[in-house]
Amino acid sequence: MGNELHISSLVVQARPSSLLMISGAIAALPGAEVHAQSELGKLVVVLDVESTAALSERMDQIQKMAGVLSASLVFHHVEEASDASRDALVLQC
Amino acid sequence: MTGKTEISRRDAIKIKAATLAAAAAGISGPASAANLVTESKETELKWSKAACRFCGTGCSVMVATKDERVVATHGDILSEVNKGLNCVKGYFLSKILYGEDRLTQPLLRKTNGVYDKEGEFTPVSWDEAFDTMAEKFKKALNEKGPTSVGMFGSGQWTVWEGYAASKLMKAGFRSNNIDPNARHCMASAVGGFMRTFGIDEPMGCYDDLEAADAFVLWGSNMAEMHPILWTRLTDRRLSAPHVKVAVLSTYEHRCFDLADIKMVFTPQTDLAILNYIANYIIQNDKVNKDFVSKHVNFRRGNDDIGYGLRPEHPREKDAKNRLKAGGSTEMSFEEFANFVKDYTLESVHELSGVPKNRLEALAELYADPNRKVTSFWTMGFNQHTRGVWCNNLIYNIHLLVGKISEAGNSPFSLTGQPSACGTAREVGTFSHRLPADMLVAKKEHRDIAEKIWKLPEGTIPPKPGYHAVLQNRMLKDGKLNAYWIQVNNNLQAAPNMNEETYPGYRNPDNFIVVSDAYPTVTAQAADLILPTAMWVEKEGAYGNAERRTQMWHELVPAPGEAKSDLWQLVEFSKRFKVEEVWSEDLIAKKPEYRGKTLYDVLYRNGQVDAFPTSDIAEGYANHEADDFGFYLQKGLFEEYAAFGRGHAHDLAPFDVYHEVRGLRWPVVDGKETKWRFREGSDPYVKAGSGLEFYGHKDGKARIFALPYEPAAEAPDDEYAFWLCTGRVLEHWHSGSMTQRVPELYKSFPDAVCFIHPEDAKAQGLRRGDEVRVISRRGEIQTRVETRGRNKPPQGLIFVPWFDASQLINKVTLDATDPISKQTDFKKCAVKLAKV
Repeated sequence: MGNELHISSLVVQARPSSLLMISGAIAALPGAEVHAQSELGKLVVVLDVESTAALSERMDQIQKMAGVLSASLVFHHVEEASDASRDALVLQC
Repeated sequence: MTGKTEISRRDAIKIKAATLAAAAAGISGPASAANLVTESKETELKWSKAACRFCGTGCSVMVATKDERVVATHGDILSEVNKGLNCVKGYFLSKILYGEDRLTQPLLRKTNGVYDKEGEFTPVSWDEAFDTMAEKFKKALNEKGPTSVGMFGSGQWTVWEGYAASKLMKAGFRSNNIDPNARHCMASAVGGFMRTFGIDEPMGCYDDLEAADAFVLWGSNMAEMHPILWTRLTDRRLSAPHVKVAVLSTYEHRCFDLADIKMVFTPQTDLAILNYIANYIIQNDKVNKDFVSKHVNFRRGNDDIGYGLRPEHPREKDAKNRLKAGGSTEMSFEEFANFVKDYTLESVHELSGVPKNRLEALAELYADPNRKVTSFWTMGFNQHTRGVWCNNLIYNIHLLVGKISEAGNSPFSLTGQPSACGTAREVGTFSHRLPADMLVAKKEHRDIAEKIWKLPEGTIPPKPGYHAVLQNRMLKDGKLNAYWIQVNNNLQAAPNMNEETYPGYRNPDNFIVVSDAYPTVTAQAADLILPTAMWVEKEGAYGNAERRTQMWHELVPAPGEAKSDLWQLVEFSKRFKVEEVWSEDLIAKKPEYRGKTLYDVLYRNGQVDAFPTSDIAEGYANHEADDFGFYLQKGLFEEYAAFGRGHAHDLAPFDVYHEVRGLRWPVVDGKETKWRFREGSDPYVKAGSGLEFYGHKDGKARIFALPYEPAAEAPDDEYAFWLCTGRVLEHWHSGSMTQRVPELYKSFPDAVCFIHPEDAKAQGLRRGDEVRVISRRGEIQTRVETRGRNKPPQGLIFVPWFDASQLINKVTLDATDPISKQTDFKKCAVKLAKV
């Protein structure tokens, strides 16, 4: 393993009062980024890890954090890591 | 702004991931991905919709295939159920198909090349498998008649699989010994609906989740069992601060994290709490008198009904209404009020152990006329020796205050399996049922079925067949001899496996066939194993807990020689001539059927074979149509739909379901029904009546007076603990599929015994210690867990049942609800011994 690219996204729900703390804790996990949050207690988290094992471990860690009420998955993409880092993509915006 | 930015593919994928998640969460995400160009790699994937294969929520998932393999899935943004989200189970759907030990060819127990019950599993052809199986079925039919053959199916059957199976058993073999594992899961809910409303399935829908002002969970761990619905409930709670959440359970679980009113009660006392709430409503003058006088009747239900054990069991002998468990007599509102008045705050607090202020707060949620309340329940109510009563009693409360059949006011029975509603209940694969809520015991219902099926009068036997637990007892007793199990792991799932199930399967008089995708515990105890195509390896339809019917196409081929359950049923029917299974006097009523096979009579009847293969949507395979030469699924669906159309169970035309993300029945003139019994929403309600419970002839629902009665087995000095069993989030369907997914297995590898730290200490046990869990029937060895997600009170332990190496059903008791025949897996007495 380790030569794969796993990118996935989650919606995490937490009590608004603990949102800041949880957001910080998630961002501190290896391969985890918090991309957006709402005052109503939602976080958009993107995970970028190298194996399915690391992915499930990260999800487990998030789900078990005190104050996390739910964590749902939205998107999962797997491919050989070499493809993604070599190819550049032209993005129009 | 226009311009070109060069970013790595990795970043582009991340932006896409974040954007989809933000959209699903309903919050604004990074805008830069809005115009993301389609990547060439993406266009190689073919995306199709499918219903998730795991639970009764009925999420829609998008499935990507490439080179005839499923390579990715994501939550379906267009789905009203899950709105783009997926739970952890759904996330790994694509891997379920590719476990290393997938079964790819039929396996028959043989010694020296011939069938031998004590032989080794040996690969055989489909022909040899079906020839052997047909010989055994014919032998049983000849020697002992139709009651010696039977089938055990599932709420994981697709709609047409359950329908084809029911038809083969009830009409072909003329045996009502067909039951689904939904019996272990939903039978009490069905009993509750039929008794109170005269028609099955919830009146509400998931839209209630965004409309309620309070949620009450009765014996339902939604956070782990229905995570997507829990996400919607959490959303409602967090976005509307006045919303309250009450959670009742016999142990603390993850739902307690969100709860405003938390209640851990002594097992079985839910009956008393339910009656206390009814009493509170009456005592505080909160009855909706107008509603009650127009829409409700009162009945006194029979009490002292026994525990569904074998008749010689001491607990059965004294039960006065054991044989009239479902009976009831009329009563007045005043008599009902008098009946519940003993369920006082004081007495129910004493009995249940729930603090008084919490009981009052709970009762007030229901009593407050300005608060919309949705109640959810699952196995805590249904797997209960008084499960039908629990269902009746919660309806009592909603009916007394008129909080029903409108957005947010909803007593809502959730289902465990993906098509417990769509297949087991609506198709009627129970031993006593026919499609559209009809019963085998009623002549007029059999007449309707025989007419639709073009069969002679008297084909379907009038006596209900063996239900799930009774099937195991009859196998053991040698009365049920040829037995076919599809899509479930009943040896592991059924209660008291040591004394009933296993001896039944290995009884030398019996031939046991198991169709499965994996070598489950049940398959390994069989005599013949048939390899099965699963989920998107076949065209399917499921019906979820809110009456939503969903379909998917066959997306990938099954491995090896695996075939769908549907193919197996229909192909097997070719091996029986009508003369071999029907009596001469029955054939005499339809002499044109003489010499034909069951395949001709049941599936080539001009209806099931009415649609050509050219009707199959372009770009999709259909392995059944390849073999049979017609669009089998469409024909079965349309014939089945004839039962419900015009009878408040209307389904849309077949092709519509391949286009939409499901529709909630009744579907009349293309329009689905969100809230049944409510004028304006349900087309079956008479104009001007506002509300009509049309399931009963008088248009009224029933409130039942039913008492608290103790559990079948309670702790004593020797067996001092309550044992409660259940599931954990990562595993579903006894782990037969989910344990094939390494990530799921890793996150919860072995079952454990959840126990209160003080109880563990008193027994000299520490976290991680090995411990024996012992009942009067059997024992298992497991490990002690004093922390973690489930926190039992003192005096109760919780053990999940998914682990095939720690079969907790060696320990459980086969006590059932005498009305629904559903097992109580939540209560028996055990002791612990340190290893």
